Amino acid sequence: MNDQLHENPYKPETVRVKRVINETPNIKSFELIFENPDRMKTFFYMPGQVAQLSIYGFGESTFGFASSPTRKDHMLFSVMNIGENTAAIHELREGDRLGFRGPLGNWFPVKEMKGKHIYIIGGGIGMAPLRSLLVYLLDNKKDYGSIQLLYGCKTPGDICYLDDRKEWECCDDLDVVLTIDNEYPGWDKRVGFVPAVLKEIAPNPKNSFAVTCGPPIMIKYVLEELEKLGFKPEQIITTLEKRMKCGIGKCGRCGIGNKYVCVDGPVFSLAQLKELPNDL
Amino acid sequence: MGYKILRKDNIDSLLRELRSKYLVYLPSAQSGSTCLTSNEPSLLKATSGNTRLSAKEMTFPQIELLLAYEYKKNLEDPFKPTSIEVKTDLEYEKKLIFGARPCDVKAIMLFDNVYSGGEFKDPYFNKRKENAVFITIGCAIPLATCFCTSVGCGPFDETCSDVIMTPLDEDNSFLAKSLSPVGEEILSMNQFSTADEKQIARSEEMAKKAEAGIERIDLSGIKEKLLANFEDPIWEDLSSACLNCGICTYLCPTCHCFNITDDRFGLAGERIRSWDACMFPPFTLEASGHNPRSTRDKRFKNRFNHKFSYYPQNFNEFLCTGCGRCIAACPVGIDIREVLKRNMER
Repeated sequence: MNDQLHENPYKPETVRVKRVINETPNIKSFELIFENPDRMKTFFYMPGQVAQLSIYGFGESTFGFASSPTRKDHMLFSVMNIGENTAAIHELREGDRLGFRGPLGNWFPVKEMKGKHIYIIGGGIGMAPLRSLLVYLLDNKKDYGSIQLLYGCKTPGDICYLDDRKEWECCDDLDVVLTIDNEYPGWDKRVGFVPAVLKEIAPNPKNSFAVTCGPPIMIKYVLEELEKLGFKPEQIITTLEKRMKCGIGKCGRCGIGNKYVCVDGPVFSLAQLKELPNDL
Repeated sequence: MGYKILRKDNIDSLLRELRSKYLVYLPSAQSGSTCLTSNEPSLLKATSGNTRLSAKEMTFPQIELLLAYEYKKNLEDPFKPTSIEVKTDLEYEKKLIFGARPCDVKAIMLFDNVYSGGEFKDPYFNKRKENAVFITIGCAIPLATCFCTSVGCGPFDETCSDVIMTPLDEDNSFLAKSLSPVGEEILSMNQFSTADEKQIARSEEMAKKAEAGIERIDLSGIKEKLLANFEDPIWEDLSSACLNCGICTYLCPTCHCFNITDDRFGLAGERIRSWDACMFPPFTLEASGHNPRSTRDKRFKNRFNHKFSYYPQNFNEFLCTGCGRCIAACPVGIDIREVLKRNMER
């Protein structure tokens, strides 16, 4: 329970920028901390949940946590500069203050995933919520089977979380597959769109979960490919993006059928999505 | 609860007394503007028709302040970080709405399902609702566009009203029925006199007659029907005339969607919310440029699906009170009843 959020869910708390990481030409990651160190210790969220970041005077937008609750030194958000508010967020420097509302929404079914092999399939900025899950799984490794990450970007310069790659690539329990859309000088890893590479590496659906996030078109083909590979709709998890305002199920913006992405999601299984009208 | 008689000659004195406790809103009698207003001196038009604007702005204003902010710069030491002060103010005046229609007041309950349901309650709406008293006037003569009885409402629906009144024209009076402790208190004021059995019987008779005079459409199973019709080409045909102007959502007492935007004046500013509508393309436009409801028919369809399928799946009620404003105001003559009937026939 977050008491301030429940008293007035529209009123942000103030958080401070601890560090800014230039990920790619248009993506920056922000390490955020609460002013009060106790709040930092007691603040709790789950991988897959989101928060609203506001720059007063510009607006508020929704971002998935890219950090895992298992590491409490900061919260991480990755922001692509794509509109008025995200441009203002990109102007933030170390020590600057901003508004924060969260955590909001549901989370990845980490309980149900226990004991299973996990395939994480991410594209572009869609890697952000998946990073949260990946770090969470690595920090609770004994509870889970093997983990494989397939992460695709347009060019090598668009790949985020370079710092993490060192940790991830040395990790015996984690198999990392990177791909870019087209050949690029000096690139020695895979080339091809995420769904095509997914077909090549053909993960085994037995006793496993597949979790995907990325651009809508990528998600669409990844879901299809996973089903072709024999994954059941209940084993396929995705996290959706929709235009949001309130984040608490009132403003009516992020509806799909009788569900709101902000409170009933953003995490849905393909089985759940199949029950909803085609309004993505 | 109790019945009392309010003679029309006593209304002015009653309003004077109520104004000492409440900001009193009445249906405006100014020509060309029929909304609820706090500067109307007497209850002139309250017994015929609907106000053009619904009563939803009493608890959900068109534009509402969510918070005010100010960046505080340290001028002595510019290297010290700027702090932010965020203020919210939820002190609202007590309102009494005299002469709203039962359908508009029932809409508050439909709002309440969304705004007070779920994990997070909306403090702005709830505070305004707590501070509002509704004296409703039942509809003895429903309009041709009324279809309240088809959607679970009625010309004398009592939901959310504190007092409901029936016009008894031959007695030059209203029969008033209290429906809440506040309503009870109002009926104990000395402008009200005792009602007799005959008057109560007459008012019941009138309610029955009004109800019988309203066209009924059969909407049983519409919830499932609309889901089944999601990809049906009928929507292209039904929406072909729609201009996506949004007047239907603007006048609708139950359309609850909103936008949040920031205004800035130098280092200070405000975050406001304002009515928004699923008829407008930017409503669902995402930062990436993707728009799940990119075409007119998809937006048009959403309005009906939300009211008659999605909302009922969650709350077992239609998100509609049958007030008929969208029918009367649509510039191209789209009739919500026809849209539903055509869907029922598929």
